[in-house]
Parts: sequence; structure tokens; C-alpha cells
Amino acid sequence: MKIVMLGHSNAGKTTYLTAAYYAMQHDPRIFQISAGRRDHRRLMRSGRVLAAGRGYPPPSDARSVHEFVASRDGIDPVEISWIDHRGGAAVAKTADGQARRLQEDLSAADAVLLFGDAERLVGHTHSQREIDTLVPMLLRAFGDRGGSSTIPFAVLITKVDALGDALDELRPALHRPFTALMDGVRRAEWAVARSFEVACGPSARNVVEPLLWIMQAVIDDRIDTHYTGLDASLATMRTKVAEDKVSARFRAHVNGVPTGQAIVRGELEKAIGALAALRPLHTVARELAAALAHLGAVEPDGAPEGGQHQAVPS
Amino acid sequence: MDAVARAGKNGDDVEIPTVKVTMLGTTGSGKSTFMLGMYATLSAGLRGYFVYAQDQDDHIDLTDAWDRLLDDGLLPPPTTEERSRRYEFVFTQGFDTLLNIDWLDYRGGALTDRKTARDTAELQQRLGQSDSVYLVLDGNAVGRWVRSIVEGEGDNPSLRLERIQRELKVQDMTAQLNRCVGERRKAGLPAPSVVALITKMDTLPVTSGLDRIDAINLAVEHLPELLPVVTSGLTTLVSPVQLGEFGTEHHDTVDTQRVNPTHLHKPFVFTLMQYLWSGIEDNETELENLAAADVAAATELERLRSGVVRSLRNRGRINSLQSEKQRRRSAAESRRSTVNLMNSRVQQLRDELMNLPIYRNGKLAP
Ligand SMILES: Nc1nc2c(ncn2[C@@H]2O[C@H](COP(=O)(O)OP(=O)(O)O)[C@@H](O)[C@H]2O)c(=O)[nH]1
Ligand SMILES: Nc1nc2c(ncn2[C@@H]2O[C@H](COP(=O)(O)OP(=O)(O)O)[C@@H](O)[C@H]2O)c(=O)[nH]1
Ligand SMILES: [Mg+2]
Ligand SMILES: [Mg+2]
Repeated sequence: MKIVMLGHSNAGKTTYLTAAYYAMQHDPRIFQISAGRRDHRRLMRSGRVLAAGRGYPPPSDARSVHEFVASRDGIDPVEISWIDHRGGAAVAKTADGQARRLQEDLSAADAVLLFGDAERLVGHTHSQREIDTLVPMLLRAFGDRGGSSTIPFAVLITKVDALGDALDELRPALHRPFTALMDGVRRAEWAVARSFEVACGPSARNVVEPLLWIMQAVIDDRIDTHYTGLDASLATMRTKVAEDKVSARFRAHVNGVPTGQAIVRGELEKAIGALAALRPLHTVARELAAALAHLGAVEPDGAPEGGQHQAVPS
Repeated sequence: MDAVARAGKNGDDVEIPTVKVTMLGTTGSGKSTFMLGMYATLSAGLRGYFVYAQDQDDHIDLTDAWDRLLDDGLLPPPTTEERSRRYEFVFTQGFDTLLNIDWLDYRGGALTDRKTARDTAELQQRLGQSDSVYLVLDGNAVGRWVRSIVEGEGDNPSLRLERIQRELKVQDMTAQLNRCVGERRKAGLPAPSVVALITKMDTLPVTSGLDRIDAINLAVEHLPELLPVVTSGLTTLVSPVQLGEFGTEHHDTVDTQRVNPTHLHKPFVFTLMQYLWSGIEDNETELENLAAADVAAATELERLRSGVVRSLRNRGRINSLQSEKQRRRSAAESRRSTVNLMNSRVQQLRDELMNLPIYRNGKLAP
């Protein structure tokens, strides 16, 4: 799956990616996330520095793709391509190839992380405009998106540690710039949406949660797919059993096609396979739900509970 | 309206219609700044609806220009390009595409300029396709005209109606608009909707000597004198807008505190509503046709069934009548659901147009 991050320069994208990878290494209960050896070493090094409060990852000057694998006993591994764009790609013209790449990446994304920097969101009169300017890229990428899998769409409000105790009071201002967009995402059939207040570094907060939430959508999709398959197998079995007469067997024999019985046997195997796959998926789903329970229910606009902000009057 | 097929949800093709908007007005009348502000307002989302530029570069240009105005008070430079500028916008409800908008910011001088014949030829063709025509009236001139209504033209030549009409190029705009109406009629298309866009409404008090509301009311009421075409039966919204309170003098920079965009999205909402209305009307006409065909078919069926001789031919005809009826039923169903959808969109947007003056059938609608 492709995870694509969208946000302005300095919004905290690279830092978040690093922190999330590092944190997952220390909390492998639900999933183990692994990377290639070199990438792993680099991420661990900057993750350690970050966690100790000794510095942030250096700014990225080109698009980079991190290939991760999320694994867990009993289920098929989830291959993740996590794409980190250079700062500024979101507001560059397409003559700059990076902007075009970003648009292409978004169009192929299976999960989106939209970043807003808490300090800017509250400190700047133009924070609404800054977020608004990112919206067309999303509309272009996801307008009328078909397909069967659900796209998790997470808003990450980063650097909330910098707000200290003022966070509760400032919460409405943090979420307001995303209200119109989240409203649109919420209405779309292809997406699930929620926002997270994130801090990376020594006073980390909600670092693994966005990633786990994305995994939850992946697992839910897999569960859905298996149930759909199970339904189809059962339906085929039912028809084949009903029409299983001697004459039908004879006809199948003459025509050289599988008999109803053979088809039923095949579907039965498939159904047994689906059930076997479903059990561990349900276990993971339960664990994910428990790990994310502290976030509370998603309010209609995707903001965390307790964020008693109102829709912007237009 | 051209319909462009696009792969929609679940792979089925949905028709995304294109609405063409053409803005006519003299150089300096405020077309480009209006566009800029309108885009900024609508791209931020309004009641769950969004507008975005199909082309990311257009989006960056428009938002950069808007940022320069809001941050540094820099107005966009006058359109210097040889040709007019076209934008392709997309109008969505959330992430669902509703309409493509083909927008032409018409290069001011090209209205009459003989040297730009090519541009003009393109405009001619383009006009015939326009679903909505914006006649841009510089608020400065409108204000002076309002003053002439109050004071009388007297000896002051700058207050003469014809002079102001000349300044606004009313005759040219009217000729172009009429051509559009004619072309569309020939092509079997409905008449375009019209917006009389009064820009720079902040200048009205200074130039007219009245307060803003009074000046606007007077302008609206007397508009047929300035712009006689509004009584020709076209549905026309009179829409005063402003980007800010910049005064009557042109400066390249303005006080950022004075940027105060007002009503910039209204004309567009009107264009959209007119589009929805005409779509609803078309569908309702078609529904009536379907109902009439049902009645005719029922009569024929009755006759065939009660016929003494039920020939083989009759039976064939009865079958085909019945299958046609089935086809009409499903056609009617899909039309009805389109009408319902359009009606619900009309409901969502109609508040935005409350209390705005609209000329309909030659008269100011109450
Ligand atoms: N206080 C605080 N600052 C952060 C946090 N994350 C990032 N920053 C700051 O933001 C800067 C830019 O972050 P970076 O991840 O490079 O942003 P990117 O351009 O979006 O990739 C960092 O160098 C830090 O100074 C955070 O969680 N808390
Ligand atoms: N007072 C005032 N002046 C405006 C406003 N909008 C535009 N102007 C002025 O009109 C000038 C020309 O506007 P512009 O949009 O470039 O006209 P165009 O040639 O029709 O595209 C601007 O440079 C401003 O000086 C407004 O809302 N109020
Ligand atoms: Mg970065
Ligand atoms: Mg211009």
C-alpha cells in the first residue's frame, strides 16, 4: 500500500515518519514494522536522536520512498511504500517535477496523511489559506475515485507539544481549518477520516496511532474481502447442491466440465480457507481497536472527541 | 453544455457537463481581480461545495496572486498577454464532481480592437457557446451614472448617460450578448444567463454621493436605462461586488487592512442555479412528453385489445407497446431522480441568492 504525506514545508512530515518507525520498533505488540537494512539503520539513528530531544531529522531535499513491511503471525504481511516529498512540492508549479510527482503519488495513494503544523495553525492569520491551498491536489486525486478499497485519510496536527497547556483552549482553532475538507471526505464513500494531535520527540504523543489506524483500515478491508468471498462460495454451493441430479452429473461428464460435487468441494475449500484467514484478522482488529480506544469516537467532522469546535460559518 | 464522459464510481460513466462562462468588460473594469477573489472564496469551500483549478499551475498562480494581495497589498498587474486567459475549473460537492467550468477572462481591449482580429474571431465562436455571460460594469462609472440620476445630467458632460455607456462599452457588450443569444437559439440551446457585475462597489458612495445601499438600489432600479438589454427577457442577476475598499484612484498597491472581499461568490452561485433550473426544466418537459406518450399508448392498447379480430399483427404491436412502456418507465425514473437531485442542490444554494436583484422576463423580480 502507498502512504502519501501532504503538507507544507516544515510541517513535520519527515519527523513524523521517523518517529513512527522508531516507536513501532519499541512497541511491536500488534505489528512488526521492518525496513531494508540501510533505511532501518538511518531511521533508528535519527529516531534515537529525536526521542532523546537532541534534534530533528535533516530537511529532505528530494522525494524519498521508504519500503516497509508490516508483519504479524497468521496474516499476510502488509507491504508499505511510504512516500516523503521534499518541502515545497505541494505549492510548486508543475515545471518543478516534484509537484507533478506528488500529484501522481496522491492519485495512486492508498492512505493519505495531511499535515498541519500546530504552531502555524494557531499563530498565523493565514493558516486557513495555507491549508486551503492544499485542497485542490486532494480533490484532483480523489474526485470520483472508484475502486473497492477504503482510503484512510488522516489529518495530523503536529507539534502539539509546543502549545503546552494551551492545547485544550486552542483545540478549536487547530481543527477549524480542516472542517470543510473533513466534511467532504466524510461524505465520500471511498474514505474514512479522522484527525490526530501529534507530538514527536521527548514528549511524544499519538505517534503510533495514525499508523495503527491506517492498519485498521487495511485489516477491515481484508475482513470485508474474505466475507464477500465467503458469501460467494456459499451461494455457489447452495445452487450446485440444489441442482445436483444424476442427469446433471451425467451431462457434466459428457461435456467434460467439473461436476456440481467437484465445484462444491472446491468452494468448500475456499470457504474453509477464508474462515481460517478471518480468525487472526479478527484478533488483530480487536487489538487495534483496543490500542486506539483511548482516542475516543470520531466526531462527524473527524476531529477527536472533546474537540468541541464548531463548523465555520460561511 | 458539452457533456464529457468520465469514469465514475463503480466504473459506470457519469456525464460531467461543462458550463461555459464568458466575462466581458473594458480593461481595468475589475475582471481579473474579481476572478481572483472568487477563486479564493470558492476554493476554500462553501457549504460543502468546492471549486478548484484543473491545472495545478493555474491554482498556484491564483493563490499566489491572492496571497500577494492579502499579505503585501499587491494588486494583480493588468492583463498584458496578447490573448485572453482561459481557466478550467471544477465544481464539486465534497469529492464528487458536479460540473466543469470553462471560464474566459476576456482581454479587455479585444472587445473592439481591430488588431486582435484573431482573438475577436475566437470570442465570436466562444460567445455562441456561453451558458453564462458576465457584463462587467466598473463601479466608478456606475456611481457617476447614479449621481446623474440624482442630480440630472445638467451641464456636466461627464455625467451624460451616453458618455458613461461609451466608457463601459455598453453597446459592444450588448451586441456580443445578442449574438450569443442568437447563436444559441440557432443551435437549439436555451438563452444564456446574464450577470450584470458591478465591480468596485466600495467606490459607489464617493462617486454617487449616496450611501452604498441607496446607490445600489437606484442603480438596480434604473439599470434598464444604462443597460437596456436587461429588459430583453434574459434572466439577469445584478451583482455588486468588491475586493476591498481601495478608493477611486488606481494604485498598484493597497492597504492590506482594506482588503474586504464581498459577495464575490454570488455570481457563480447564480450561474450554477440557472444551470440547475434549466436542467430541471428540460427534465420536466421530457417527463411530460413521456407521460403524454403513455396516454397515447394506453389508448392504442385499449383499441387493439378490444378489436374483434385479434390478428397476429395486433399481438406484435401490443407486445412492442408494452415494452416501450417499460422503457419509458425506467427513463422517467432516472429523470425523476435527476430532478430530485438538482432540486436538493437548488435548496442547498438558494439562501446564497436571497434578496439579490434579478431581472426576469424583462422585469425586476420581486
Ligand atoms: N516541537 C516540535 N517540533 C517539531 C515536531 N516535529 C517537527 N518539528 C519541527 O519542525 C521542523 C521540520 O520538521 P520536518 O519533519 O523536517 O518537516 P517536513 O518539511 O514536513 O518534513 C523540525 O526540524 C522541528 O524543528 C514536534 O513534534 N514537536
Ligand atoms: N476600489 C476598488 N478598486 C478595485 C477593486 N477591484 C479592482 N479595483 C481596481 O481596478 C483595477 C483593475 O482591475 P483588473 O481586475 O485588473 O481589471 P481587468 O482589466 O478588467 O482585469 C485594479 O488594479 C484596482 O485598482 C475593488 O474591489 N475596489
Ligand atoms: Mg521533510
Ligand atoms: Mg485583466
